[in-house]
Amino acid sequence: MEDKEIVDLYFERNEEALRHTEETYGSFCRHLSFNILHNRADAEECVNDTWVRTWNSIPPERPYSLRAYLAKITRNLSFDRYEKIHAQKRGNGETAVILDELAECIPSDASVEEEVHLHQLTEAITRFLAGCPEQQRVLFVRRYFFNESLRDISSRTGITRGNAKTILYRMRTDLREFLKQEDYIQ
Amino acid sequence: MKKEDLYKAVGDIPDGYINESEAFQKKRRYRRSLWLLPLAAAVAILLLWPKHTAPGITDPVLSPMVLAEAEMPEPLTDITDLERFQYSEDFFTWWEDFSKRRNASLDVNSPIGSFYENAIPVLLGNSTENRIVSPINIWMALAMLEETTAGNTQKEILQALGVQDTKQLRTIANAVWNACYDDTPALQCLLANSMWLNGARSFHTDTLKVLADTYKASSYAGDPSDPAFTKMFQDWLNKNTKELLKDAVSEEEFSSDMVLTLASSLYYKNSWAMRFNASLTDTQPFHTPEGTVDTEFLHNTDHYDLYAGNTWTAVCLPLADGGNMYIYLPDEGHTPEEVLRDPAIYAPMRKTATPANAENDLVVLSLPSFDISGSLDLCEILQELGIRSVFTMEADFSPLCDEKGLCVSDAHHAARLIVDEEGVTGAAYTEIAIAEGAIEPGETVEFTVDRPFAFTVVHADSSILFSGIVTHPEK
Repeated sequence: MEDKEIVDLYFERNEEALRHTEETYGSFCRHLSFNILHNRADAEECVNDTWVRTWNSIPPERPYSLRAYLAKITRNLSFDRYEKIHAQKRGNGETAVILDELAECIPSDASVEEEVHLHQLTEAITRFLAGCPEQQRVLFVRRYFFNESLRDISSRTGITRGNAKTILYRMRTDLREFLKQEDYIQ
Repeated sequence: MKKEDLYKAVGDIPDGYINESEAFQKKRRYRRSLWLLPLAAAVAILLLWPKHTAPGITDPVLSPMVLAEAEMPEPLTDITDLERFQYSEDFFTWWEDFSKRRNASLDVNSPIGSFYENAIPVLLGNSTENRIVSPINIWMALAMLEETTAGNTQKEILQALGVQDTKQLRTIANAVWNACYDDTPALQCLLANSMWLNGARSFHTDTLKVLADTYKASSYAGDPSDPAFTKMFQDWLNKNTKELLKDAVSEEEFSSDMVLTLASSLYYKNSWAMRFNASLTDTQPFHTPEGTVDTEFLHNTDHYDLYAGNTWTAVCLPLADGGNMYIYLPDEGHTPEEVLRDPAIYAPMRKTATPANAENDLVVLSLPSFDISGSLDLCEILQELGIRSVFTMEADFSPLCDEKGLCVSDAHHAARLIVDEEGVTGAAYTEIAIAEGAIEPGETVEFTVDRPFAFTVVHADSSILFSGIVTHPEK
C-alpha cells in the first residue's frame, strides 16, 4: 500500500492504518530505535509509542513521506528514552559514541547553558548538508540520524569503514567551522 | 550548546535527506518463495507418462533421474556474520516473519504432543548407552507415509501421529514445515523431504502431487538395483544433513524390490542466547553407570530457568531463536528413562509450567559438552506405537498405486547432536521404504557414550527437534 493510501486511512480514522503502518514500517522503525537504545524491549515500546503518536498527529498533519515522518518520531522517542536510561546509567552502545563525535563540532569552551533554538540549528545543519556531495550527506545521515555503526554504513554504501570514518571526521570539522560562521558557536 | 542539542537538531532535517540515504539501501527483501507450483506441476507432468514408461521415452526409467527438486525459500539475507545480522534491519524483518510462522504453527500443532509423549520413551528405549532421535523428523516421515495409505493402515498411522484425519495432518505438517524452515546466520533449521520411485512402476499422480505440495518432497526415479541410484540417494541425505551422518548414510541402499522410499531430513544449527565462556571450560569427573570418568564441562552463570518434577530437576537453556534446550537431571535413585516417561516434562516446553526459581536467581551451570549420534531400525518401534498393518500383506497402499502385496520393508532413523560453547548443531533423517514382500531384519543400533541425563531440543513452535539420553562421556 502506498504512503498516501495509508495516510488517507488515518484521515478516515480507520484503524487499518495502524496495521498497514506496522506491516510496512515496523521493522524499519524497530531497527532505528534499536540502533539508539541497543535493547529490543525498549525499542519495541518506543515503536508502539510511535504508532500512538502517529495516530494522534495525523490528522491534522499530512506527511508527504510517511517513512521519514515515522523515522523522526521514532528517533525522538528513542532518544528521549535513551536520555532517561542514560541518567540511570543503563545506557550503552553506539549512541554514546555518536554523541561524543558530535561533541567535536562544539568547542570545549562553549557554554552549555547557552540557549539553543533547535529549529534554527536544524536549518543551519540543513544548509550545511545542502552544500555537501550526496555521498557525504548520506554518510552523515546514516551515522547521525539513523545511529548506524560504521560497519553497517560501509555495508550499505560500499565505502570502506576506514574511508567512512575519515569522511565523517572531516565533515564534523567542516560542520564546526560552518556553525562558527553562522554564529552558533564562538 | 550541548552535544544532545546538536543530535536533536539533526533529528529534524528535511525528509528528502532521510529518503535519499534510504535509497542507498540494497534491495534485499525476505521472500519465502512459492516454489510449490512449479514442483507440483513438474511431478504432475512427469507422472502422466504411460504405465511403466517415463515421459518422452518408451522404456522404463532405468537411469537415475531427477523428476522435480524442491526449491527452498531463499536465504533471508546476504549477511553471513551472526553479530552483524543481529544488529541489521534484516534481523527485524526476519524476526517478524518468523514470529508469524511460529504462531501459526503453535495455533495448530498441539495434537503432535501426544505423539511426543508416547513415542519418545519408546524410541529411546532402555539401554546403558547414549541415545538420540529427532521426534519431529520421524513424525514428518510418518505423515508422508500416511498419505500413501488407506483404510485401517491409514487409521493406525493417524492415531500414532495424534491427529484425527488427513486434513488435520496436512494442516499441521504444512504449518510445522513453514515454522521450522529457516536459513539465517542466527538459525539454520533446514527440513527436506524426498520420494524415490522405482522407475519401472506406475503411481497414482494425485498422491505424489500431495507429497510434493504439502511436504515439499523432491522426487527421483530410477532402478533400485542400480548403484548409481543408491548413490544419488546417499548424496541427497549427505547434502541435507550437511554430512553430519555420513557413516549411517553410507549404509543406506535400496532393495531390488523397492517400490517407493520416502525420506525426511533435518539439519539444525543454533547458538545459545546465553553463551558459555570458552575460557572457563575444564575437565571434571562424571558418574557414569559403570564408574567415574573425566570429561569436558562447559560453565556459565546466568539467569536460567529451573523446573522441578517429582523425580527430576531441569534447566532451560535459551537458544537464539526463542527455542530452548532442556536438560533433565534425574533425582537420586531415578533414571533418565523414567524422566522421559513423565508427562510433566512437557509442561515447560508448552509454557504451562512456572519456573521453580525466582527470575533474579543466578544459576551456576556446569554442563558436559557432547557429540552423540545413533541410528535405529524403526520397524519394531513403530509396531509398538500401534503402526502394525503397514508391515503386513494386509497393508493398504491403494492411494499410492494399484499393485497389491506392498508393505513397509525398511524404516530407519539416524540422528546426531553436538553441544558445545557456541550452541547446538544436529542432523537427522528418517527413511521408510515400501516394497514387495516381508520385513527385513533390523540393524544393530550403535551409540557413542556420555553421561546419564535426558535432553530435548525444542523449536520456538514447540516442535521437539531432538530428544535423547546421554549416559557416558565421549571424550
